[in-house]
Amino acid sequence: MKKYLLIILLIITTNLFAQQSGVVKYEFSYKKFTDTPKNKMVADARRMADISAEYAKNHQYILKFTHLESIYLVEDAMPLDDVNSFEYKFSKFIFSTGIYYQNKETCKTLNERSSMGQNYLVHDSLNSDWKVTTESKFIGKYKCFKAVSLCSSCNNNQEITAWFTPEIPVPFGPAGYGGLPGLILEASKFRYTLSLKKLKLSNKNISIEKPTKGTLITADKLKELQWEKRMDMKSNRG
Amino acid sequence: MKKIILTLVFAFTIGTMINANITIDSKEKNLTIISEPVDCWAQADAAEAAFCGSVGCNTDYWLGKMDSCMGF
Repeated sequence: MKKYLLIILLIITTNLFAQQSGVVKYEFSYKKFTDTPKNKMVADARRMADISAEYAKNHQYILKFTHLESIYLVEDAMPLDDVNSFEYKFSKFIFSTGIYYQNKETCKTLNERSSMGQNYLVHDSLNSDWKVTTESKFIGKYKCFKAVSLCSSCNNNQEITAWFTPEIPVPFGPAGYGGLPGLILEASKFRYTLSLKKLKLSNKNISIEKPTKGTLITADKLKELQWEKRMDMKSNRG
Repeated sequence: MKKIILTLVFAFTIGTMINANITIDSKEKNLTIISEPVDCWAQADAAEAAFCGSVGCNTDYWLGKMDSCMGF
């Protein structure tokens, strides 16, 4: 009898959440470089990256989700000075590039982005390569667990750290990160962090529009094309 | 004697002019062919490392900096 009651309760809870949707707003923060490099070019580049990160603090980082799919985008804030500067242009891409769509049923992600003057629709799988730890902390009222993975969008072996909550059982998160047994409320890589600013859950269904613009390509193929372009520029330098 | 001195002065002047031209040419060659791309290449490396942690971590930054450095 008890067993049946539990099963019924589980079905009711799952159905309740199945109707749920949410909007998460994240805020961006970064750690400043602590050492002062002697090389002027390196010092200049770091100053430029810091200016870019300051701009990035003003953007809006928004994840919308239902129990089945999610979309993540960065809404840019108008800067006070030069919108065409390299620093401003790259402040929107400092944590990720473009719009990310994730689907729980297909376990696939789509990333609408531009690169090398072209629009691409990069398809990939929801990351399943996380190492979930027992380390936990509260973010707001939600108990979150730490998970670590290699950064899929990076060419080197950089790590990404995510804090997810099983209390909101959707495998989504910001910047294309997901595949965990709960919503990602905080994500960090290199010296950058996206952390929860505001979370709004609702019983209303929201529409998630799948991105469609750009040439369909795999993440690996795009990396290959970018690397080829880089090598071309290297061989053409004289 | 006067003719010899004039010839020597003429030869010296021409030699100096040729040398001067060669110097200017090679300086121009250095500026247009070698200096700028090397700087842009190094700047793109430095920018990429500053933005994402190391050279090779994100080609978007590298290409973006390379383009802005070359004036595209």
